[in-house]
Formats: sequence, C-alpha cells, structure tokens
Amino acid sequence: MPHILAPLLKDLVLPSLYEVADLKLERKVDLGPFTHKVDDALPLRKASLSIFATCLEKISGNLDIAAFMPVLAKALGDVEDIQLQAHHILISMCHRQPTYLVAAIDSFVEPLEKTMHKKPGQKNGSELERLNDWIKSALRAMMALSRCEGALNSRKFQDFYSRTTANSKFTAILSSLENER
Amino acid sequence: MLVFLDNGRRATISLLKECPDCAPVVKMHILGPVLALSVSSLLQDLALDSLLAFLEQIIRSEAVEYSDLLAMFRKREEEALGKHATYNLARCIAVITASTSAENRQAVVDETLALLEKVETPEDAKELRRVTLALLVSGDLGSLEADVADKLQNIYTEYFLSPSEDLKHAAAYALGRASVGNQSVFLPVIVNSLGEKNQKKQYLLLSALREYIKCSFRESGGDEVATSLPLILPHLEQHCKEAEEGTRAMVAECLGSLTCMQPDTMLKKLVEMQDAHSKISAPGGVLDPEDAKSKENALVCWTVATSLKLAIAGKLKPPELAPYMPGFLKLLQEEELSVRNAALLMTVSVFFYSLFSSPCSGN
Repeated sequence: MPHILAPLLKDLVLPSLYEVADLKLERKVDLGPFTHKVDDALPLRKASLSIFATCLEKISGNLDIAAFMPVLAKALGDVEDIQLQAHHILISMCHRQPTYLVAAIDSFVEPLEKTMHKKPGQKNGSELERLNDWIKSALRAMMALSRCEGALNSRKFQDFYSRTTANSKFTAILSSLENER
Repeated sequence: MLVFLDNGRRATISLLKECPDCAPVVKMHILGPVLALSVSSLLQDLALDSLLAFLEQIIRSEAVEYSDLLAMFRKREEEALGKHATYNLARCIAVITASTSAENRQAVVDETLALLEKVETPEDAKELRRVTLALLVSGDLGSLEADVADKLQNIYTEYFLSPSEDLKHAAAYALGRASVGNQSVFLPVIVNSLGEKNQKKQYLLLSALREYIKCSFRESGGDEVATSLPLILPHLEQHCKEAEEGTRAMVAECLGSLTCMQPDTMLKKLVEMQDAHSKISAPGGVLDPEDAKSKENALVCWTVATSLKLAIAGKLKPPELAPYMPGFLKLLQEEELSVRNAALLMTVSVFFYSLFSSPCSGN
C-alpha cells in the first residue's frame, strides 16, 4: 500500500515545496552596535528540503527527480545548515539515483567549490572546527559524485575534481575521507 | 534494556503472586535497583509503567512493608533531583499509597493536605522540594479520594499564585491528574477559569487540561474524555487564536491528544476550524499589522496544523487521517510564514511517523 501522501504529492505538496525552496525573507535586526540579518524563511526551506529528502528515500516514484535538481543545486549554495542537509541528500542520491545527478552535475560545481574555499578569517577553536567540517562535507559530496558512473565525462566536473584533488590544502582531508569508506 | 526490565518485572510479579514466600529474596535483591531506577533521568514510558506495576505488586503481596518503602522513597526526595526524576518519584509514592490499606492511605492523605493547606513557598531548597513532591503526589491521590476534591481544588488555585515556577507547574500537573475520575468536580473549575484574562494562569490551566487528557486516556482509553469533550472543546477553540505562542502550543497539545482519542469527531472539528479561518492575506509572507482578521485566522490555522503534527506524532492512524489529508494540505499554500512553517512541519510529521504504516495493517 502506498504512503498516504504518495497520491497527493504531485498536486498538493510539491508546488508549495518548490515555492518555499526559493523563498528568502531577510530583515535586519538592530542590536545596538551592530545589525544582524535574520532570514525568516530559513526554517521553511529546511523543512521543505527534509520533505524532499524523505520523498527521495521512500516514495521516489512519485517525485519528478529531474525537476528537483535545480532545487538541490540552489540548496548547495544556501547557508551552512541547508548546505549540510543538501550534501547529505546528494550523497544518498549517489547510491540510489545517480543518473539524475550526473545529468545535472555541472550545476553542482560552483556551489561546492565556493564552500571548499571558505576563508577561516579570524575564526579559531570550535568555530574553526565547524568551518573545517563544513568544507569536509563539501569534499565528501564531490568525492561521492566522482564515483558515479559518467560523472567524469563532464568537462566542468572533471576539471573541478582534478584541481581540487591536486590542491595540497585538501590532501589531509581527502585522505581521511578515503579512510571513511 | 527496556525489554529486559519489562520481562524482569513480569517474572518478579508472577513470582510474588505464585509464591509469597519468595518475598524476602525479592526484597533483598530487587529493591535496591528498583529504588535507584525510580530516580533515573531516563525512566519513562514502558519502563516507568513496569516499575509502577512492580511497586503495586510488592505492596499488595506485602513483600515489603508500605511504611518502609515510603520511608525509602522519601529519603530519595532529599537528594537534589531533576524535574523528571521528581515527577517519577511522585508517581512511585502515589502508586504504593494507592495499593496499601485504606488506613495507611488516609494517613498520607491527611499529612499531605496538612502540608499543602499552608500554601507556603519555602525559601529553603529542600523544603521547596518537599512541597513540590507533596503537590505532585496529591494529584494522583486526589483522583482516588473524591472527598478531598474541594480542598485540593482550592489548594491548586492558590498555588497558581506562588512565586515559585516549580510549584505553579506542579500544581497544574496535579490539578490535571486529580481530575481523572473526578471530572465533574475539577473540569468546570478548569474550563471556567480559562475565561479569565490572565495569560500565565491560562497557560497553567491548559497544561492541567493536557495532563488530564493524557492521563485519562492511559487509564480509561479516553471514554471519560469523550464525555467531557463538549465541555472542553469550546474553550480550546477559544484559545486557538491566543497571541502567545506558548499558550497556543499548549492548546495544540490538548487538541492533538484529543485527536488521537476521538479521531473522527476531532478531525472534523479541525477541518471546520481551518475552513472558518482560511482567509489570510499576507502578501510576501507578512501580515499587515492593521489586518486583525487575517492575523486571527493565521493564529488559528497555526494551531490547527500544530495540533495535527502532534496528533500524528502521537500515533494517529494513517487510514483515519487519509481522507482529511487533502484538506489539511491546503495549509501548505498559505503565504503567511508561520502558518506555512507549521504546515510543513505537519507534513514532515506525516512522513516521519506513518512511513511504515499502511491502510491494510491499520497501524
């Protein structure tokens, strides 16, 4: 028996999910000496992405996976929390639905590369550790993609993969990722 | 670990039933771990039920003297326990008191009332714990001893004004539990006071109501709640549009629990509420501060979505929900951010809790 949402997904759930995935509502909060930006739509994007993730895992037959690829690409360039969620989805899809990923692989290159080159700036201690985990997560996503059949046929991805693996600042992380497997 | 505990409990209870001579052995070997477990911060659900059933049996079979066991529990109360452990300890004391002789019980009831009727908020932390525990225990005892209901009701109302948050919440919890079996005395008090314009008190009364609903469901499968639904529901509906999110969340907890017990009636009710409050104008996700109607509607829809989320997490059966799902999913289209977020979380909940259920198996 299908999940109770399966027959309703296409008409009643997905349109809102796509809409929310694009939603950003930033406002500035004045905290005296400095202002802080709050994005009121962030919790909604997170929830929407986790619904996508569950659909992919459990009822992917009811989902237009190709149409989800732009959403995923966008999430890869969103704020940290969402990026980590997106990396996770991407890695699971490498095992289950690799062909869709490979078809859209060019769109993942820029956001992933941007994250890998985040500058530590003044960060230290736990903040620095967090940044390193974030960068590691992007590298893990790239490595998973590179193992999908046909991934390296994309010129753009292949170049990205070569310059990243050749970059000495990633050597230690990449070898620790090898050990994870 | 929980399974072991439950099996161990069953084995020991059977042993005590069949062979009362084993009592000294049980006392020697099992009581220590049981006492340690009673204040564990991890004790809940099945393990807690098991422990309570076990305590009931050792008192009924007279394997352990009631006064000895009570003294052991009271000694525990002197330790600085966390909130969860204190509430569990109260359940333990209540269950052994309920299982002992009427004479023993009366003594504890008298003692508890004497302490509580002073309505004091002690400054000393140890004394404060003693009063908190007495309040918590009084709820369960109140549900057994109908003749003290009036006194308790006054005590709880007085404690709502205590400067101590612990005592206020303990009083709300106790009021809810005392209402089980005594609903004719307590429920009118709860719902009538809900009409007062006192935010803090409303929150406490609603949390009492939640405790009553949950507890009554556990004890009697919700039949009692079903009869009081016409009394409770209009008040809950009234508070669905409370501006304070904490209060609305408490309303949602009540509505969510009721939905699990009375899915048919309640799902229809939620649909009705949603339909009556569907006009929300929020261009770009934000309400116009002048637009009071849209604001009220958004608050109600938030509560409807959150109630459903909680009902689904509380194991509302998917086949019961299925016919109503298309209607509730309309909430996903609301532009207003908080409603939409609540609707998304409701959808997450549907996925999370009903993944492995099917209309065939019916769970």
